[in-house]
Amino acid sequence: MTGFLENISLGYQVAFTIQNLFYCFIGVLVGTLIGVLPGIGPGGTISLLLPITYGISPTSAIIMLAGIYYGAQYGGSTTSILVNIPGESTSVVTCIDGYQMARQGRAGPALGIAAFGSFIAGTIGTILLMFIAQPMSSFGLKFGPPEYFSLMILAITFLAYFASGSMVKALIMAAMGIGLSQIGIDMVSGKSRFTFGITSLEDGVGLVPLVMGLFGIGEILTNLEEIGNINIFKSKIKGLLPTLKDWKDSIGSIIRGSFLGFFLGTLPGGGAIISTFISYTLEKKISRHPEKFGTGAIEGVAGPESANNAASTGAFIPLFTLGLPSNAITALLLGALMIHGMQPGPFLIKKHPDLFWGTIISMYIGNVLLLILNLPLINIWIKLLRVPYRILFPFLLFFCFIGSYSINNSLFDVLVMLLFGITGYTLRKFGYDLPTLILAFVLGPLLENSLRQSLLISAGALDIFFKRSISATCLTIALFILCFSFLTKKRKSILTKIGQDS
Amino acid sequence: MDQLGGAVWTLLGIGLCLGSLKLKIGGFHDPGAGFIPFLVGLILISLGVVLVISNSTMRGEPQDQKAPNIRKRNYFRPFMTVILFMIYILTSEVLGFLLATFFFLFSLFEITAPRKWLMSLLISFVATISGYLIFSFWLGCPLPKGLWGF
Repeated sequence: MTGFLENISLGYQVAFTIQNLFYCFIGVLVGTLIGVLPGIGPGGTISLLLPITYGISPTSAIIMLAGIYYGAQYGGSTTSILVNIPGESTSVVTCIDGYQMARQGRAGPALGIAAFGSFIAGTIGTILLMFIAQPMSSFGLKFGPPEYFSLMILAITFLAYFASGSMVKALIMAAMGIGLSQIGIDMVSGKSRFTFGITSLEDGVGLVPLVMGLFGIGEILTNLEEIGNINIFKSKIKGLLPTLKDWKDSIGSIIRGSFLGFFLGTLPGGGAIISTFISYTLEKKISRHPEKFGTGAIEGVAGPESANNAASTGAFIPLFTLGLPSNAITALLLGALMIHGMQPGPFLIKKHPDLFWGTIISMYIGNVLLLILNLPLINIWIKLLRVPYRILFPFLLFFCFIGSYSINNSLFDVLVMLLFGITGYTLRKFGYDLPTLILAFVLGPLLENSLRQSLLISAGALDIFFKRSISATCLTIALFILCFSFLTKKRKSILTKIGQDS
Repeated sequence: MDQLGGAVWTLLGIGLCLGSLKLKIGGFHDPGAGFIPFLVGLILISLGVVLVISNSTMRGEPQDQKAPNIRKRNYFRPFMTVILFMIYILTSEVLGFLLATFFFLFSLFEITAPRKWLMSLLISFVATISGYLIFSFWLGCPLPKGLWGF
């Protein structure tokens, strides 16, 4: 217990420095901003800001980047409620009842409960993270190369399973991600792989140009197909504080959403989006007035909004304790840690307690800041929503150019980014799931290392993956998911059922 | 369309396998530099074939396709944006950051709001200068220099 209190105290000392408070503020501010603005998500933004973090300490960098991630979950609800366009994919469900509430003149309470729900969920998630992370990282010490390999296979399978659209296409994206990660010099043999004589490719494809291209440029090109004027509420939003009845109706949904979201968020493959759907379905199932759902039920906003926030906190568990990202965003955070020369894994908390505990405490601070940013200042964000996309997108492209150029002062990186932008745009049009590609790309080198090490340990015997219980369990689950999902109708009917229920 | 996609992935997989063979695949005892790319190539070939087969047997029953979009889409804007971005990349080390950025922003504004050229001119000018001051002077980011040194 003393050790725990010492760690908390260390976290406070780290998070409350002027520098880290500043980066936390910048993170949640940018997170809210991009959450509000449709057309740019946390993935693109984090990759855009990665080069800026090179000059600051790893703790400050992670505090800021994490702030963007959970801040975007707050901001995403604003557009869902006010314009029926989800700012983030995790806010899709919020549109259903949030927009109906706004149409009935209850935009204020909807925004209010979304912000309070996110705050409560963020806080519960942070507390759970604090208590679970350490025992989890001790458990992580039992992991050797075979366990890591199998867990990564499970993470990719999970993400492909929960991906939108066809599982085959998601698996193709996973294979492409691993394939792209193979470009460059092989660390073991020193041979150049698939560089086609281009010197700039010897270090491999950069994470920043890849993500900025697929997420940033790709998304902009897609949005450019349809630039329309969005109709938002012209009047000032008033009455943000939910009434006592609103609280009574939604507090249960918030608590349930928080726990559900957190645990689904910890799953390899990540479950932020799925947690919002499940939370909505759950609330509708246990409600005494299920018929109200879809017509402006406050529980339909409170539950999913809490779930997506808690899930974004839960996703830090596998990242900090095992060094494994569970979704594309935490994969970028893993990239950021590695850029700063840190070795993510079970020893991270022990070796860098300042980073772990500082980030945790900064999450508390970030949640308070987000409440302030999202409630009293809501009218500023609404004004921002009125900035036409035709004005906004040239600036986004301009930032992408600077972001990718500044990594190596090379136009080659910008060209790579544009190439992946076109690829992302095309893949999106044909229903391919890009986050799976990103996760597989980041995990690719780790996957290769653990496979090679495992085979070295076992002298080439493949049964090493099935002789060890953790590894065998992970592979069995992954195999089960694959077999189950190839009975396409079964998988579709479950996802469709959740969608229809929502 | 998914059939064509499946064929592309299959070809890519074959290319990856052939490339891996040149790198030395090795075996389970001693995996070489081409080991993982070869496995990935095999997976791509298999999944590509599955995509082709599953779509040819489901003819008439489109799967994984969203409902037909009744809104009119504008493909000219994304196409022109890519072309302009390419020109921006190619000219930024000749014209320099300031001039290339100004022309890039101005032409992008013109694609989406062609009749407001004076406003586009003004926004592009202010944005270029502010961008230069913020990124070059304040944040110290290296920016491409042209023949004139700016």
